[in-house]
Amino acid sequence: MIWLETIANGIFLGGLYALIGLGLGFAFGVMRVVNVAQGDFIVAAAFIGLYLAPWVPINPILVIVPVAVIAFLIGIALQRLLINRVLGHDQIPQILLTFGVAIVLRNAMVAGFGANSQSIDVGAMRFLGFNLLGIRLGVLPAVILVIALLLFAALHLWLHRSRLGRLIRATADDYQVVQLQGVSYRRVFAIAMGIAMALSAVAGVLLAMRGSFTPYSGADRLLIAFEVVVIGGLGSFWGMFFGGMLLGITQLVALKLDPASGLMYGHIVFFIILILSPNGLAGAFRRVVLRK
Amino acid sequence: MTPFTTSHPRLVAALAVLTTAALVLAPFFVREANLRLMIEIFTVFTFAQSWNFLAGYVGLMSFGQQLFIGLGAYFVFFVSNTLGLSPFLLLPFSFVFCAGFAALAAPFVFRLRDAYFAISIWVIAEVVRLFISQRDWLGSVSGLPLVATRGMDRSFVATTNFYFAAALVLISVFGLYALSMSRLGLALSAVRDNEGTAAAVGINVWWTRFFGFVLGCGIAGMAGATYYMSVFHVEPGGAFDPNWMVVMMFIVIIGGVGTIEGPIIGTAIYFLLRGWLAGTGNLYLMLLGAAAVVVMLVAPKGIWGVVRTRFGIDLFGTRRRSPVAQKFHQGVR
Amino acid sequence: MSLLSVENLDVFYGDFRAVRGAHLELAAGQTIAIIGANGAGKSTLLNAIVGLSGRKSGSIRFDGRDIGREPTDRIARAGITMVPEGRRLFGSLTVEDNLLVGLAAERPGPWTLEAVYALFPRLGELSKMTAGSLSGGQQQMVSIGRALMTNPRVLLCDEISLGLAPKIIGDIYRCFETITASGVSVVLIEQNVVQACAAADYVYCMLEGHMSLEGRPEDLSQAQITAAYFGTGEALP
Repeated sequence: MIWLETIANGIFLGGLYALIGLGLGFAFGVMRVVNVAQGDFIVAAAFIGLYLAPWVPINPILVIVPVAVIAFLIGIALQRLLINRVLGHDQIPQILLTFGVAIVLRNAMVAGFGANSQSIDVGAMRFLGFNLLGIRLGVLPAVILVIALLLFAALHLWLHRSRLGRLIRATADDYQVVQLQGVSYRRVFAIAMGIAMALSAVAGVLLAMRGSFTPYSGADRLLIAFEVVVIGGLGSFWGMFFGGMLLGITQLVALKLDPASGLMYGHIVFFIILILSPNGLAGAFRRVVLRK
Repeated sequence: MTPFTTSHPRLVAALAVLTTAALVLAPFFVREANLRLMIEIFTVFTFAQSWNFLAGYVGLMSFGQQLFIGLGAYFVFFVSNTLGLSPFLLLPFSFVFCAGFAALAAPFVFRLRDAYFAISIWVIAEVVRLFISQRDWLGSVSGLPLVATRGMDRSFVATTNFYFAAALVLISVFGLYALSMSRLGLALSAVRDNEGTAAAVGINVWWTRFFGFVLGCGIAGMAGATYYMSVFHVEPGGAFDPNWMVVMMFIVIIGGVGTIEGPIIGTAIYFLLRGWLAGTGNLYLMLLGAAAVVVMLVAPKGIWGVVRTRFGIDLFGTRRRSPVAQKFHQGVR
Repeated sequence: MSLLSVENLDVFYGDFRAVRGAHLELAAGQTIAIIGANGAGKSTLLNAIVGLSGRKSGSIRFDGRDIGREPTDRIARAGITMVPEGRRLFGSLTVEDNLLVGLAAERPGPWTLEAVYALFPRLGELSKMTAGSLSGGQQQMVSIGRALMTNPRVLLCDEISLGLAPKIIGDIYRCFETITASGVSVVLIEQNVVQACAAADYVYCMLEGHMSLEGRPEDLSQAQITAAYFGTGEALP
């Protein structure tokens, strides 16, 4: 029974991990840009959430809405002011640029907020639970999983049903040709980065409600995001979701067996998948199930 | 392929002889405390140069170079303590150990490209750090002391360490120069610039890259061992600290990626800044990050890149660029 | 007055000058063709007109306005678009989504989804298919249709017959009668001289980055074209 509970909690955590990966994976899918500062922006969003949460009406969890809006605007600014200036054949400048941004942001947060561990207070919800099939589960983790699922579905639908979604997909396929149709790929990139940042920010706030964070948490967040994207199979939408699940379950099971291990077994699972299937879960799915 | 920049092999050879002579004589004239500072400067320069070699010459960017710093140090400390061997004897083998580790990792990490490759090495560094932190026989989080040097004469230890650090500097300046002038160097730059054309002229892309990767990681490992031997103690939090990457990237970006001279300038600026801003903690790191951002926006080729185009100076002149390759760069995406 | 006029245009790839002092005049409603061997600079010239190439100097005027420094998307919204070499469809999008991307230019006009499907009836049947799964000829139709959806005043076509069967080439070129009748001016790049001379009102021949010959197709002799095409001009009487 304890294992069933652990796995259920792993799924809850995994949904959140998937959401952390979604922002990074989306930005990579559209722009081939890897924002190395994403982890530190996730932590920055948690700090914004920490200070806004007491002012949010109805339920503190709704703080994700203003934080997402702020993160969207920051994403647009980041792309327009910095990343768009170093786009080109070579990816190294973009990566180094965002690495520099990450260092500045991380140390600014240490200077501004101190290195102490913090958590966003969601009030009584944190201690509520419910029984399912004889196991006791937390309401907050379940709500967080539902939010993650909704965001995955919403992004998927929006990309495939809306006009702007169509332009984003077209830009992802060929950012040069899309200009011949009158589309400014720089503007599309800015919007895509805004969305990526908003998704990551929501994940960051939710993670800060479930657990705790420090200004140094960004590195761990980035590694999780990166592993989710690679396990999922670069750019595969639902592959990422299952990648997140796998990491979440692995981590909680490992913590039960070896409480001091931290993220180590998650990293090891990532390497095992990389060895078995270079294209991640989506690649394995295509090979085994679809026999391609 | 006509090299656009000309090099001066004779001048470089003369410089190599002079530098070697100066480094050999240095311990006789320099005080022990300054010798220690020079060991630090030399090893940090070698870290940066190993990363520069991978990013600028092999075309592989790594975010986990601290892995090899830590591995090299732990190899020497652990084997020396366990078998009672002299750490100086083991130092060259730290190169072999780290190169071997890189060789084993390469088949897996080479499946990923660009940033994903870069971060995958960081992930390995984290796994190794977490692994060591939990193993009592490796000292867990508090780390390992270097037992063998306790009974040795302090100035002998400092001098020997200095010679190893000096050798690393010579290798990472003049060795890199010789390598980039060789056939292998040509193959490396071809692979870096355009995999497709490199393969088309008969270069084995995978093995060329593999060789570059293994070499770069081995040098970083040996430098890591030398660095930690001069402080007599290694612990996982410091040896595998991602801030090593911040330092390496700062030095290389500021100076100029893919040049030999760039990291020399970068290292000088880094140590000057560190001296001035000592005690300011985060401000100093923020400044390093901000400087990297500004350089990427204003002069992506770094200070040496600006100097070279502005004044036409090019001592080592090892960047080969053909107009055809440039056309490929801009025309093909 | 001409709708599109290029004068003394140089285009560089690094230090290499791919186009040298090229010129071109396109009147409203006209169809012109640029012929020339591989590497003569034809594609570079078209890319330069729509702002996709690197460094360039000289003058490119559209409707009396200098567009030499405008970005590609603004040129497209002003009314010049291109069917790129190799078709370059958005491979993961459906046929219909590919066409609808053209709406982003925000240029209302005769070319709507229905008009494109009327021009290429086969595309109507394939509208829900992924563009990457189509045959070469069908892809070329999508590529042309996608460009038409922006309702261009000038349509540049880069080697639309490349790699297609002769019958399909004939089908596609027949559609250009409808396209020009709708008021679109066309610039064709062709390696096939006969095809180009049949379709165009005026022909330019490019050699090593500059115009080696120009004229109305009926005024040009076979020998003149051969000489201008291969650069053997002096050897011939």
